[in-house]
Amino acid sequence: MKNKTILNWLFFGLIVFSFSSCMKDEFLESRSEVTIEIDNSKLEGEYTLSNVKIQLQEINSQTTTSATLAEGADAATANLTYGTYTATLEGDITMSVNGTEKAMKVKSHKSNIVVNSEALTISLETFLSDPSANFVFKEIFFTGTLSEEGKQYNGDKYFIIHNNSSDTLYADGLFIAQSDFLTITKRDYTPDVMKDAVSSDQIFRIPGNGTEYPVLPGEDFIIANNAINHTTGNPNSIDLSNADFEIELIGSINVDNPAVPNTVNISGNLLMHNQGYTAYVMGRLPEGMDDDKFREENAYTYSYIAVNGRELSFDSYKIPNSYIIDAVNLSVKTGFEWLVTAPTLDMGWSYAGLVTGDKERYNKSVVRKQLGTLDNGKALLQDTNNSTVDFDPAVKATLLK
Amino acid sequence: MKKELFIAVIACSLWQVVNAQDSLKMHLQGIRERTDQAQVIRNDFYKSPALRPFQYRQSITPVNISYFADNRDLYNYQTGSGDKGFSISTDSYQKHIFPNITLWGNAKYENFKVQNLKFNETSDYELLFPYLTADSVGGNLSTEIYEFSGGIAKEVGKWIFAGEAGYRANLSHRKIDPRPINNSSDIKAALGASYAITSHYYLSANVDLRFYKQRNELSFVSVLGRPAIYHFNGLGAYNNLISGSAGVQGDILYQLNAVEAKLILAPKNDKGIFIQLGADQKSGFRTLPLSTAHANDWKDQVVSGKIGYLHNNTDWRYGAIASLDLQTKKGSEGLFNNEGASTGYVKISELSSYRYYNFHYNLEAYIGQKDWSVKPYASYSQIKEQYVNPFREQFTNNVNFGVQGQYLLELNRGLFGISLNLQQQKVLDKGSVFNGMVQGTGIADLLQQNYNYLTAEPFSIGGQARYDFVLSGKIKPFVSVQALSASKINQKYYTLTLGTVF
Repeated sequence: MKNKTILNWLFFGLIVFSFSSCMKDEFLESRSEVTIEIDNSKLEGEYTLSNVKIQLQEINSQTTTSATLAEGADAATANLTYGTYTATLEGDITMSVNGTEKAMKVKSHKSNIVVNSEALTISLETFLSDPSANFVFKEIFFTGTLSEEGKQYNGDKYFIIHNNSSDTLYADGLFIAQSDFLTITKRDYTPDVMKDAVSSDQIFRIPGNGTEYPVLPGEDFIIANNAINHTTGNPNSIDLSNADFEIELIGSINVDNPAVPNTVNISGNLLMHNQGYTAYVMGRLPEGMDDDKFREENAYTYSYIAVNGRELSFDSYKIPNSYIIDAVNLSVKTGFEWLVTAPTLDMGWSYAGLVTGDKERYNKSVVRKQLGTLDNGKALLQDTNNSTVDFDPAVKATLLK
Repeated sequence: MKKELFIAVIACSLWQVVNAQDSLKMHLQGIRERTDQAQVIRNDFYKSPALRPFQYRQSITPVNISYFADNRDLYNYQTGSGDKGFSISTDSYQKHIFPNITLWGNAKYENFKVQNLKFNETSDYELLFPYLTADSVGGNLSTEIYEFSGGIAKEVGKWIFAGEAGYRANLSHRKIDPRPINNSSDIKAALGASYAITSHYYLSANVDLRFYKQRNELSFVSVLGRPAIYHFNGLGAYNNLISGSAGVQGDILYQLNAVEAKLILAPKNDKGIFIQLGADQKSGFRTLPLSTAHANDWKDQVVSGKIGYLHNNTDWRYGAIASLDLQTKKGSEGLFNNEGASTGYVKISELSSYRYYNFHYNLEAYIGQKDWSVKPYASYSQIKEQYVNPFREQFTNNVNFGVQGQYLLELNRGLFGISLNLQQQKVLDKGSVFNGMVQGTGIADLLQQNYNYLTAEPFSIGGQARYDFVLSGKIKPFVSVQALSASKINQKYYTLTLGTVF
């Protein structure tokens, strides 16, 4: 009898234990209702956004939550577990630039978003991204300055090159060439290679082993004619002693600053045309091609029939358009006759002088317009392959005080 | 320090045997009650300190050295393919040194290699899983374990008061990259009391307290490269923000406090009903080098119950025991934010993310006479493990059944025992969901391998032979051989033990 009582108590105990320890516990999660406001204040001009998707990744667990921005809306919502998040936004943007539409990407990135309250509002500042972005000419100061005596001063010309991408790019090996042909004089050159190449015998490149000269997204570097403080000899000029590179000019006008690396001449000594009748192209030689091979494979002779009927021949190089990442045709406002690059490289042109021989052109350059900002807040410059709309013409050189 | 302590305990144990009985009959009775499987079942009820006086009738002190080797082809990566090494141990039980006092003590030293560990560089897996430090390289882990414990029980009228204390240290390391150095200490103390509620039955209660700590350091010497380090949170999930930092200097610390309570009803002898109810809770946490905040907290709870009935008369012995152990382990993980060099990693929230259930029900019985016994047994286990996000789960419902037979042959000046155990595991239900896993990666392989092992259906044959004999009045050596072979997981295990009993 006693044993039976004990058994009854035991079975009761087992039942209690079994019920108290079931396998159906719920995981308890703290969640937050997060409002994601889209800040488009850095976008300029007219634009239309579409397909805007937001990914929110919790960085401890790497779990990702998605949200979509409704058409025309300026905020999205997401229900998130507590954690530390990285938000990335990507969408399509169609920008209206001087009447033409340019399709680009709009992006945003924000890290270390701490979500540990029931409701939270975060703001994502958007920026533009051009998938095809690369180095571009930001400014070409080709006119030079005047000395106190009113004489032409050539050594203070410069290029400013801008990394228009969201990646770190290397300047090593980048070449710049000045076209043989003039935009103010249209001729029938034979052979006509313009559709596929740019003719130039003034080509230099940046030295380096490939990773020696990194340029961060949105950063610039300066290539000076002579990288010296020109203001010591010409108060109207510029201090270019802090330039990143200097061009190896012809001996009579070359002043070397040993602290600044010289560019390497592939052909000739590039002397910038001080009225801007030429085009400038920038690019890279393809993998496996060095200076000698370039010269060997791309040397050619072109000719044209002069007014007096004589055929004039010139030895030069044809730079294949496929090597070129940016091109700017320059001219004078009232003297332009033709583009000296294929329109696939540049559909327009810019200028500093209003007429040929314009004495007001000095101190003026062409400066590329800003379209928006990159993710690091640096400038994203406008690059529609149309220098007429991409550049502000005849503006004061930005390095001039 | 631990070595010196170990030697001291061994010396004390041997000193205790000065008064050891030397009657052959009593000696063989002492061996029999520790090796007879029917007695072993009974003895388990008397492990609580306040019931220790009834555990054995004879006082003996065996000292032995064992070599063991275990190897499996299919195994849990995080516990290794088997241990290989040796141990030296003594386990003394003394009833008659002082009136109404029972003393017991244990000392053990183990030196072995945990073979082929992968995705686990932390010692004491059973206590700390799933919060392991892991890398994909792994290797053998050299392990030394020092273990000491001792207790005393005093009978005062109808009462028995008892106390017990123990210490265990685990020192593990590897001398090639990755180089873990793990030091753990495990301190236990127990107090118990029992009361004679009838002339035949005692009601016993005891509370065990435990404090565990492990310092887990991982270093690399090779300059050629380092594998990624993962701080696992369950089923292969890891904290991405603080994992992968092989170059981070500092220790991973584990701490665990446990309390266990048991209530037992047991007869003084080996006849009658046994009932045991128990509850055990372990609360642990882990901290990582990058932050002093807890990276993980967990609670591991086990409620248990056991009931048995044993009978013994001059001809037959029989009995049956039913038991259950319901284990629930729930863990949470810290979510961190890296505020930069000045403040480092700041814990901003916690996520309850891990569950482990192991519900085990066991039924065993035995029948036999003085020299032989047969023990059929069966158990049913429900094991389920879950991780919240990405959701991962594995579960299995297993039955294990088998039979173990034993024959004891009393010789002129010795006792020879042989036993054979046949066991089959069958899976009634199983399943797994491993979301967020890239197939072909090391961690995917880890999960699949562990799942395959968990749901394997091995058939095992195990055997043991032990021969105790008397060379002289004080020299009573024994030799024991144990072997086991299991199909499906291709396990081969054997151990050889040499010892003497004082």
